[in-house]
Parts: sequence; structure tokens; C-alpha cells
Amino acid sequence: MNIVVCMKQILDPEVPARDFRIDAARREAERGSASLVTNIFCENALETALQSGGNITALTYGPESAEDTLRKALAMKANAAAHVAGEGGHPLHVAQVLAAAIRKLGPFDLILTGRESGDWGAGQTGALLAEELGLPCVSFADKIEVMNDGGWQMADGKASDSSAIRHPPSAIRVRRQTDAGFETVEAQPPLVVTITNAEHNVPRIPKVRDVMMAHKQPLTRFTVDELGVAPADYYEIVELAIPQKETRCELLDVDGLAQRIAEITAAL
Amino acid sequence: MTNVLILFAEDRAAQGLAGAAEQLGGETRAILVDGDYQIEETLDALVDACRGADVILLANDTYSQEIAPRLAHRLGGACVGDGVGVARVDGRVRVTRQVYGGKAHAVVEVRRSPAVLWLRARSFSGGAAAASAAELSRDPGARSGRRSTRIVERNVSAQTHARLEDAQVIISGGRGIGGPEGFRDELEPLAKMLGAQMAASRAACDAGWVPPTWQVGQTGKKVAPELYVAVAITGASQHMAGISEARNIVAINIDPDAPIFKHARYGIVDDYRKVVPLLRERLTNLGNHEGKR
Repeated sequence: MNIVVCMKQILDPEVPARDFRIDAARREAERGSASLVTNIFCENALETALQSGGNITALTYGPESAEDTLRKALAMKANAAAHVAGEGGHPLHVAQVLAAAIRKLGPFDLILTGRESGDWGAGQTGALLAEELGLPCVSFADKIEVMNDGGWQMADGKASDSSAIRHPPSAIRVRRQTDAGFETVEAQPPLVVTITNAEHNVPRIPKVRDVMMAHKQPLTRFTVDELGVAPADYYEIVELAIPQKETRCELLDVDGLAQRIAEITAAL
Repeated sequence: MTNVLILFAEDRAAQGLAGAAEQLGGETRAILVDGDYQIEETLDALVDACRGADVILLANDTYSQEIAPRLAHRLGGACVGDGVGVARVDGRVRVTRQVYGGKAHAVVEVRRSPAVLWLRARSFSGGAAAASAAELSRDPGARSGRRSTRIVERNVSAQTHARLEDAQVIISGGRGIGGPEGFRDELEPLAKMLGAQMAASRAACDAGWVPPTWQVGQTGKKVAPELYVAVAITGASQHMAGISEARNIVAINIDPDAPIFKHARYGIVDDYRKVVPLLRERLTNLGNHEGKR
């Protein structure tokens, strides 16, 4: 089974609000002293892929620094990595770039993305990628099982070490989170799945040795021009601002708080 | 100008979407997607049902979120999600939404038609809901060309009484609760007293202490209660992004420097294990007192 995991490098979302600055004219966040990290849902996606087994390619679209995201993916034991050099763009552009790269790198049975990114949080990459590739899409998944030789194979975290799943699976079963609980979805590959976080897909910590090895592995490199992706209209960010909040917290004792809570709930 | 509202059977969402449609102007009709939701089939049917619309509005449930970008793509339009404000400026649709985990807000201008928007429906004051929503008609055999998926099992979490998004009072716990026992023994009895819904931060859900359906925040539910009691929650911006529409935030936290106090209206700096039992006791007394009057 061949899996591609689309991954994005972003400004560390943990940067405290007091250190967060924006460039209002360029309508983007200032890098400042914040570090760059891999979007957490992309790491959840890679972890889910590693647990499902198969041959995994990590793919990113981003500036030179995004190579770090691929090196970390390789250290987590992705088998190959590809970098499309370029920057920015609306969700449709990103999906078109990724789709073009996937056509060159594929074929793949499973295409994974994170459910959304921790910077702009548009949450559209996986869905638009599915449309660009003409594939079905299952969103907000946290577990993937593959049907092989007549039986369902549970993702158990061990499969990545073995090459147990070599052949295209005949069916894929996805567990996904919904507002009320979860759903089980069955599908035939190929398909796109967007991944959310759960207790069982917390990204593994790579071994030091694997981190060092990852720096020696070759990357497949593309540019947006090579892929032949032309800019298209979609949407524009016309304003970006940090909201000013004027909340003053009134510190109370338990009696005072009980009184306030009783007042608020009595008015409902 | 034609607006189409797509509803996955939720009354409150319908009013919010109708309110948003009134702000955009034009004629509005509504489509109700009822019954057996199947991703690809429902999408196909909605593409047919929405042709000709300028604006398509959806709520912020998971079905709406997954359908909206794909519907936009099929209709040649553009999608913007998680909107808390809409406007029409010089004929173009603009959407206000939070970005960078709630640390900033952006105004996004749609440059294609139709504009397919999914909104935090509760952030909009209710409009006169379209008189009646037409049920989505489906023709399952119509498109055999495309591969499909099948939802074969639906599990509804036993703890879910009503939608968290619709709750008036929410008791929420974070990493500082320390384990499932704190939720069960301290917070749930408090929630019961107040007729509140339970929620949690991502840290508590990721730790497996409570179900993922409880998660509130940038990547969880976006709630808008009258009262949100944040217990042992630090208040990282990703969590705050889910409660920006809460009317009154109460913080109980042992750390006086926790960012949650910058957003809370009322607070107590102390260990929740001490505060919550006392609070339940006082609320019981107040309740009895009120009862006698």
C-alpha cells in the first residue's frame, strides 16, 4: 500500500499572545522569535499512516525552511520525502500544487492531510485536494484499518516496521469523529482522508539515530513552475488585526462566586 | 441575488443562518438534509440543488464543514469557513473569522461565485427562518461514475445530552484536573446542579480522560453559552478560540498568571479540589434559600 502524507510547516501556535505580532500591510503574522514547527494534525496524519503500514511518502509545499518538516517525517520513519518549493497562496492554489505533485509521485492508495492548520485554519486542503484528484474524501478521521487478503488489519503501531502490507488493499475502513460521537466509513482506495487528533495517534518521538540518518536521505524536489500550476482566483485576505480585549477579571471568594453564578443561572 | 441555506436538521443553526442571509440581502431558500447522510451522495445531490445560488450558507457541524469546500469546488465557487461575521461590500462577499488560533482576526473577501460559507451559526442574531425548508431530493443511481464511500456505523456518545454548541451553561476542565476522577467526582456533580453540559480542553481529551466529543477550542467545538466555567484550564489561545462568544467566563485556577484570567469576568485563584466542593455546598445553600423565599 502506498500512502502520501501532505504536511505543512507553520509558525509555532504555542507562541504566547503577548509575543504575537502581525504585519498588517502584508496581512500575515510576523515571524519574530517564534520557531517554525510541523502542524500538529499533519504529524497526527503521519502517525496514523505509520500505524497503518505501507510505503509512506511525506510531501510538503513551502519555503526552504519546510525541509525541516520533511527531515522530521523521515526521522519518524516515512520512507521518502518530496518538497515543492514555493510559498503562500489560498487553499485552492495549495490543493492544485499538491495534486500536481501527487500525480508525479503516485500512484497512491491513500492520501492523508491534517484536518486543518494551526495558522490560518481554513480546513480546506484535504477536501479541495480530493476534488482536484476526483477522489472521495473522509474527514476528521482518527483511525484507519486496511482490508488485506480477506481480513481487516488493525492499526497497531507495529506494522511500519514490517512490510506486512505490500499490496494495494481491497478496502479501507476509517473511524472518524463527529459532533455526537464517531462513525465508521468504508471505502475502496484510492481516497483522501483528513486526520484529527486522538489519544492513539499522538506523534511518536524519533530516535536520535533516526534523526541523524534522516539528514542524509535524498529528497525529491519540485518547483511550482515545474508542476505547471497557474495562479487562480479564490479569496483574498483584505484585513488582518489583533482584537483588543478589555476584560477585567474580578477575583472573588467562593461565597462571591457562588452568588454570581446563581445570579447568572437564575436569569436564564 | 439568491441565498441558499443548507441545514442538517438543527433549529438553532437555522435561525443564525437566516440572520446571516438577511445581512447579505437577497432572496433566501433553505434545503434540509435529513435521513441517511452519505458523504458522496449527499454532495452530489447538493451540487444539483444549489445551482444558480450566489451565496450558500452552512452551519458549523462536522457534516457542513466537510461538505462546504467540496461543494464550492464543484460549483466553481470559493469556500470560507468558521465565519463569525458576513457583509456584502461593493457586491463582494466578505467574511470575518479568527486566525492564528484566535490571536488575530481576518476579513476574507470571496473572489468567486458562489460564496460557500460555513458559519458559527450561534454568533448571528436570529433571522426569520425561511418559511419551510425543502427536503433534499436524492437520486442515488444518477452518478455511477464516481467512487463512493459508505458510512456503515454511527456511534452516538452516551454522555451527549444535547449539543454542546447549544448549551447555556458549560463546566469545562483542563490538564490541571489531573485525571478522569476529577471530572467524574468534582466537575460532573457541579454540572448536574447547574443543569450544565460538560466540556474539556484538548489536553484533557488527548489524555483520554474524557471523550473527544467534549473538546472545546480551535479544533474542537465552538461554544457560545451564557456561563462558561473553566476549571484548571490555562487558557491557551487555541482554547479561547472556541469560547470567544461565551457571555460570562469564570476561571478557577491555581496559577494567578494563567492567561485564562485575562479573559475571565470572575475568577478564583486556588486549587479546584478545594474550591469546587465548597462551591457546590454554597450553591446548594443558595438554592435552598431561594426556594424558601
